[in-house]
Amino acid sequence: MLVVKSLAYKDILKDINFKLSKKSLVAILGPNGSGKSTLIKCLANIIKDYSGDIILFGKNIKSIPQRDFPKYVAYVPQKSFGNALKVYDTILLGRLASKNFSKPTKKDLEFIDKIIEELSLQNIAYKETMNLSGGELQKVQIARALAQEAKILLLDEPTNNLDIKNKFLLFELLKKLSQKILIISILHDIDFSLNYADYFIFLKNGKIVKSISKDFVKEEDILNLFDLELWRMSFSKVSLKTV
Amino acid sequence: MKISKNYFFIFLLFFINIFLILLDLSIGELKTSFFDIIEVLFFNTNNNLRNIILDIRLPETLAASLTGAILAISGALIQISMENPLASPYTLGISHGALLGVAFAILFFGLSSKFVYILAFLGAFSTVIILFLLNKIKKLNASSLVLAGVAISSLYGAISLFLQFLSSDLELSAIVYWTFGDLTKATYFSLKVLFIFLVLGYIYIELKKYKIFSLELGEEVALSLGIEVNRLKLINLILATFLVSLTVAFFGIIGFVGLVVPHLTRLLFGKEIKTFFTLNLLLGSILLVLADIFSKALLAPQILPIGILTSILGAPTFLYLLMRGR
Repeated sequence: MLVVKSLAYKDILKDINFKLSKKSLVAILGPNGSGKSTLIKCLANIIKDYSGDIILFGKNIKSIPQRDFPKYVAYVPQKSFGNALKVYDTILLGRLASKNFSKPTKKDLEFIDKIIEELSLQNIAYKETMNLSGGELQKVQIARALAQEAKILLLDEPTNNLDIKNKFLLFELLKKLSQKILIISILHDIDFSLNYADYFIFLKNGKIVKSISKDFVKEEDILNLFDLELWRMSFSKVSLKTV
Repeated sequence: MKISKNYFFIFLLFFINIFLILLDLSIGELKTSFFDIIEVLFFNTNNNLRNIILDIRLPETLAASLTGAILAISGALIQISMENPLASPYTLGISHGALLGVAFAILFFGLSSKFVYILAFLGAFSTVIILFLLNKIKKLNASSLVLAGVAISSLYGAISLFLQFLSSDLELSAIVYWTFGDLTKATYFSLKVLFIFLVLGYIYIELKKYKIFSLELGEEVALSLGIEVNRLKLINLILATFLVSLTVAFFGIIGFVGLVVPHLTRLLFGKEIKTFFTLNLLLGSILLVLADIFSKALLAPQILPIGILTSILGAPTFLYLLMRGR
């Protein structure tokens, strides 16, 4: 599905290699300044002047025309700002992007209705996005990305600004979606990630220090990643299902 | 999905527009009634009234309608492409750039030269280029972009003054005359040109409206949606600048319409992608026809240059937007 070969960008990313071949939820973890957002932006084709190769479904992403890109990858940035557009129109833009902005058809509009229902956005569908709360805005951005029906969803700290309940709901949603598409997300909530993600990429100083499946993550890995030798976490004891 | 009630408003604004145009035509030194106008326009009565209305009043009224529409769509395009709610042809100094071009043309190529249009566009476009480059070097926020516009306006204003200093009395009066926007200069030639480019501009916007609105989601998201962001912004700005420079070359500076109308459209009808640009265009036309009515009615029988009126009404609105921030 996605192969990254010796990716490097300025001093920020150095020799990044990984391969993801299954529909799953992949968490990128790492301390601040480790290059997580930059990596996601390279994958989202926003940063283009990197060296190395990113290969999607056998095609180098540099060979995919810009206008076809939304069919492959959907991206939700770290910070979203509201604007005067309505929630409905915002989601519609995602949908139209995946078909080169041709005129919306009845089918498209029905699809938007379905997404709005799935993410329970009915009550805010005709609000301007600048009047939404942080959590609502995040959900709208994800809905917009889902409307693209892309094969890969990239998220940059999607749980920022979310309270514990909304975090929980978001992770449940991502888990469900990850049965259908590949989701790669930068995450800061270690407890949540360990409960929900299938696969982990640990990034530090622009390098991948480890990329492993959930079952093999050890407490030591996390402590080393964040230089936390003294601080013992109790992540393994927490069960979020009971929250 | 629900059917938007904005379609109803499009009809409503259209008819308000027609009504105001007829009302505007009935106002002038010679007292005429609403019905006189309808008679002259739709029934072929052959008298002096017909000449007055068709040769003097109609061009001015249509110029108000077309110019209002053009300034409104240019303003909306500039605001979206600069990602800046305070941007407009007037506040960014684009109009002043066009005016400087006009002054150059008058001074070096004579009063009736066709260079007026070319130099107006080049002058206007030079402002856009400078702002675009400044924005590239250091990402300007909403207020500093407008401040840069103010700086460019005053630079261009100073160069215009210098040209006025060099010019003869006749040229001087022509240049000064251009600084206040005045629709009484309208001719059928100018109306034809404005109409053609308004229609072309509107078709472009309607075809690209979903892409254009994607810019509102921010540069990164727009890129991820497959938009060639810089190219789209540049095309939008060139189009808006060209349209504005035409109105300046024909009638002079009519300030604040391009700033205020897009905000008013959003406040009244919301920023709905399907209908925004159409409503914005109609509202621009309505506002400037309304301003034309006031410009004739306030100091009758004198006609106040319309640019003075729009500035008096527009400047406080601008201050309000500035104070409100984002």
